[in-house]
Amino acid sequence: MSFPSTTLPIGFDEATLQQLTAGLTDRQLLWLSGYLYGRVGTDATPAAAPNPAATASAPTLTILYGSQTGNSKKAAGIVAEAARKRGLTATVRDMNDYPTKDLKTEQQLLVVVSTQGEGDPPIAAEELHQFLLSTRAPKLPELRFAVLALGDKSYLQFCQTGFEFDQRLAELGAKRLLERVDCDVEFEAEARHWAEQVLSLIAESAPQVVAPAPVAANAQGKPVALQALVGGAEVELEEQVEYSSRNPFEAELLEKIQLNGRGSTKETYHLEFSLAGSGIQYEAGDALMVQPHNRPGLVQEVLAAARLDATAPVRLETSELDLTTALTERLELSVVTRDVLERYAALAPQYPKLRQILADKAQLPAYLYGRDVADLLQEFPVELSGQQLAAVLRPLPARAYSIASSLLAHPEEVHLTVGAVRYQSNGRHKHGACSSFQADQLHIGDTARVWVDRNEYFKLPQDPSTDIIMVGAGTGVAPFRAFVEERAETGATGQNWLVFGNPHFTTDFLYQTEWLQHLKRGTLHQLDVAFSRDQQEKIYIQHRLLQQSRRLYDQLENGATFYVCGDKNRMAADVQRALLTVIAQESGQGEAYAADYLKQLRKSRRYLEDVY
Amino acid sequence: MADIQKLSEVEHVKDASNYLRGTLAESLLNPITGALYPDDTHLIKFHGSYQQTDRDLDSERKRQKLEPLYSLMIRVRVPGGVASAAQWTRMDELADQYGNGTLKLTTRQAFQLHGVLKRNLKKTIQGFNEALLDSIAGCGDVNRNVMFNPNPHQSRVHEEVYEVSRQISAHLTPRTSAYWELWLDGESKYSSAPNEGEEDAEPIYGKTYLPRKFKIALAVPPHNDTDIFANDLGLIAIEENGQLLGFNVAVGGGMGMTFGMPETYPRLGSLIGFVPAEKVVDVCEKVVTIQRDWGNRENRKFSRLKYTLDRVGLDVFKAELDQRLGFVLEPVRAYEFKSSGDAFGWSQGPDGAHHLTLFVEGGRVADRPGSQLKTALREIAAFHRGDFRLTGNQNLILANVAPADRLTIETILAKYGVAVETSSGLRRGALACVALNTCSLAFAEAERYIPQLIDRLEPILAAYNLTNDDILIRMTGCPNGCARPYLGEIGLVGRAVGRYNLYLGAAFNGERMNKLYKEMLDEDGIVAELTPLFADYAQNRHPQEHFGDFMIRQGYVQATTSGLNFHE
Repeated sequence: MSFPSTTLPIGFDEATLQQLTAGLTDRQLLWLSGYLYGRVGTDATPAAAPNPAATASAPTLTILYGSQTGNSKKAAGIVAEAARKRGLTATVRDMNDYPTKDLKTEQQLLVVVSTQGEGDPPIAAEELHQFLLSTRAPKLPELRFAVLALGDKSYLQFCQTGFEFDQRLAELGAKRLLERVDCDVEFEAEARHWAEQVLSLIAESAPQVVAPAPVAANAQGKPVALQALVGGAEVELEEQVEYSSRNPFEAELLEKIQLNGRGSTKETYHLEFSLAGSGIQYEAGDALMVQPHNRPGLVQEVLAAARLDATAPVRLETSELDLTTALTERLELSVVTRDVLERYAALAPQYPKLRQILADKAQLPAYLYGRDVADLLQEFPVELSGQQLAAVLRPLPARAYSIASSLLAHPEEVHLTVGAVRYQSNGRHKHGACSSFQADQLHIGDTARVWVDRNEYFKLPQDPSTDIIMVGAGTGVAPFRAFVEERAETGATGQNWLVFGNPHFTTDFLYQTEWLQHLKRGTLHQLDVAFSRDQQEKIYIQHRLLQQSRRLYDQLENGATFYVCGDKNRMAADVQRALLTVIAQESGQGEAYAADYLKQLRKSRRYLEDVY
Repeated sequence: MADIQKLSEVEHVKDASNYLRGTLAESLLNPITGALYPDDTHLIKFHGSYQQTDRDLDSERKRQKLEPLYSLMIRVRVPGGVASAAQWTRMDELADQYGNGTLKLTTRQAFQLHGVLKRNLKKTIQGFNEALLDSIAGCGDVNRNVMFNPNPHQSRVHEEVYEVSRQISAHLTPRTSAYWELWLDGESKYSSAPNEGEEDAEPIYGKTYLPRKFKIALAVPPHNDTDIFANDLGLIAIEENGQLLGFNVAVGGGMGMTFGMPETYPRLGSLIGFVPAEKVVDVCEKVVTIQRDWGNRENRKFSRLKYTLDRVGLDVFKAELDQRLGFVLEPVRAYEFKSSGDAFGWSQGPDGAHHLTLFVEGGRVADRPGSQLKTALREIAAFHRGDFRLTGNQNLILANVAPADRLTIETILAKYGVAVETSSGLRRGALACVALNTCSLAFAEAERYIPQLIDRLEPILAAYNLTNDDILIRMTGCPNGCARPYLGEIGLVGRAVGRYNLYLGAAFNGERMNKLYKEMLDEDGIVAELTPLFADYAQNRHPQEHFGDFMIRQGYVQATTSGLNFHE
């Protein structure tokens, strides 16, 4: 590699640089560029000041992300990489650590933010979001901005937080560089496209910089390795295959066990996949994406309801395939989302009711709940071609499952804990697409298409002596199996405390014998259980937390990290309330103190949720 | 006394248990397992309960990463087998509420509930207590439920002997307050509360109780339906002109043995004398204390009184007993036993009261397709003013039925498909232990399987015109003898799943044990072996000759005359 010799500043000559960088690969050089930039931030005072020469000539560019699962961070990395390639200097910052006062000094701001659940900002973005929407927010007439919103179209409040950032920044007088783009679960391609568009606008107005700009540091001035931003662990510096939705790994199912005893109302499977030959690495806390196939029965019902020929050819993106295959492998059938309903309504103008449903935002979720594509086709029959149907439907998404194993304990394997979702709705039996795919269609010896989805934040503490408190109901216990295995393998010295809940002791105590073994070996230190339906009054996890109030508070005071995994609506909120009660009671300092205490726990990533 | 180093593990547990408490309180509260702590599994027996698992599910649950499905069997004592209608109703409710929905009537006139989860154990025992029943000493190294002929129509002597059996039971009940404390929350409202300021002590047992279980049964000839010779202590009532004089005393009976250990054997009690009625409780106490002091505490396989007796000799034992009693037992009086089974159907006592003996297959009171015995009995219990009597043969007597209720009872039984007269003599005399799936000792099926085996044997019996002959068949899942298999004219003892040893030649009246005829038979083997025996019996028996006696006369097996020649 040669260096552009014309612009070498402050006393460097090419020979010295060659000597310093001899033998490094392109990717290593790339990484070093970020690292060295970060070094400036840490060594120099007071803060990470960009090159004064650069600021003099060009307005600053900040890429500000608010991430819950790590996807926004990943998207921010994509944007940063694109900026670097264009020779633009950009600072990547995490909303979690972003002082709100910095807002008014920004000149060009690219916001990447996701939306949680029913329209909530990620925890990391809460503070900035609240500040921005409040009356305290400053006028920002000098600012130019653009927003990339991440979300999940199956939620009604799709990309709500991005929408709010976008709208509010404009209200405050900032100039929108580009219309907001809302990305669905598969965000990478759109993020790249958006980055190119917005960066070309920025580049047009900026003076030319010849050298590729370094990727910047985060707010603390610590270096951010590029590969961490673009979504990989260090192994990716090696020539490793990156598995993704476009390039999934075909993992063989080695073992499948129904974990619930006879007579249970639950149906939970333990699945063990082989990663042999893939080189796939994951950490406890990560998720595995599993690409399902739709149930043959559902495909038949859809074909029948649409009165379409199973073998009719359909074109999807670049491939031509028959309708049955498209409906089985490529298109979502088990869920109807708003966007699908909108496109369908456009094809079916003869049904004013469809328009009414779409217009009534309050009623829409209730209408969509439990409806699948066959329901829709039966209720509002229209004449349409296979191609038209394919265009109405959205791509069949992979589902994420919290990984239930530690690679150290199970080399070249990944284990999942999957609850089969089944219910009756609209007079038909419904099955969760991916859970029933695994429960009913996937047999030992079969393969499934999988890849790892890193969960940036839901991780074990760096310090092995930190205590951990793991609270999980039902399949929410999955990542804790991985945590305990990992801590057992690494000999971590912190206390491991598990609080588990499910309906019945005799049939639903997931991984019971493993927990008993861990207790015996001293790799699990405390196990509390809540079996809600074993007695007249329902006892849930939160009741156990309240009973263990003192112990819980002491551990938090001692620096413990608190993890919650499982059902978002029914459990996470109750657990949080119980925790607030415990803090208020044990600290003796009341509710406001408890609320602030919890907020600090969240900010310092000692209260971590993996809820769904 | 034995060297402390050599004492069996259970002896240490008892010694350290503080009169049967151990860590049971903690065991019960531990929510992460359905099991008790290992030491407590020994102690819980004294409280009337065995920890079991559903063996049908053991391997399935292991794969599911679930511990075995632990539950508790609870045995409720019913001295003499007499329960009130209210007590029956309560047991019926508890079986549904906490058990597996069935009631087992045992071969020792007790109720058993199966499948009670640990977290429900206390509520179940409190439920017994409210109906004035208890499970203390239902199992464990103590005197168990005292058996007595429950046949109320027999004679006025019967009432007196029943009273004696209750006195013996009360006298030998453990005195520890652990039961009251653990299960009844130590609340003084309960009758079993100790007197104020009283320290725990066991004047008869001492703090390590007996070396092994101890069984007592009483009978009034000619009926030996409690199989008194199978007990550590058997008492035969002797009457004269309708007056109870006293009892012949038989000691050292016991059924259990271990395969592959010929030094273990079943043994019938040896008659050692006669005792007047007013001194019989004292005799019981002294026999118990000799066994307490002399019994083997090192190896539980040799701990029963029968081994103590054969080790020291009957004379030495008798001399010790006389000395402890302070008087000498009188010579054995004449008596005659004619049968050990139950007489089914309606009968009428001297006072004009009606009694109905019902056949309960395998002693299992359950609702099954076609025969809802449990529901029928629940309906009867709602109005029946007499009592429910459990026989030693796992059957049930509805006793002291008001004449006006007789027709109602018959109507209810018919409505729920409960037959008063049953199909064959073989079936109505059959006894079986619980075995699989809950008994941890079982090698093979018994209660669940024997009806099926009899289904196959009945057509053969019919072909030889033997349907109405009473032939005693008894099956157990292991050699420990709960259904007294060595007193069966046909004894089938489980060796492995689907495989049984066949024993023949026991006496119909329970006075002679059987002997091994064939080993390791499967069902076809059993049928093939029995068919020619039935044929021979049908053709060549003497009038009134029982099947067991015939087997010996024809030389199929040699008569067993004592435990020591059982294996010969």
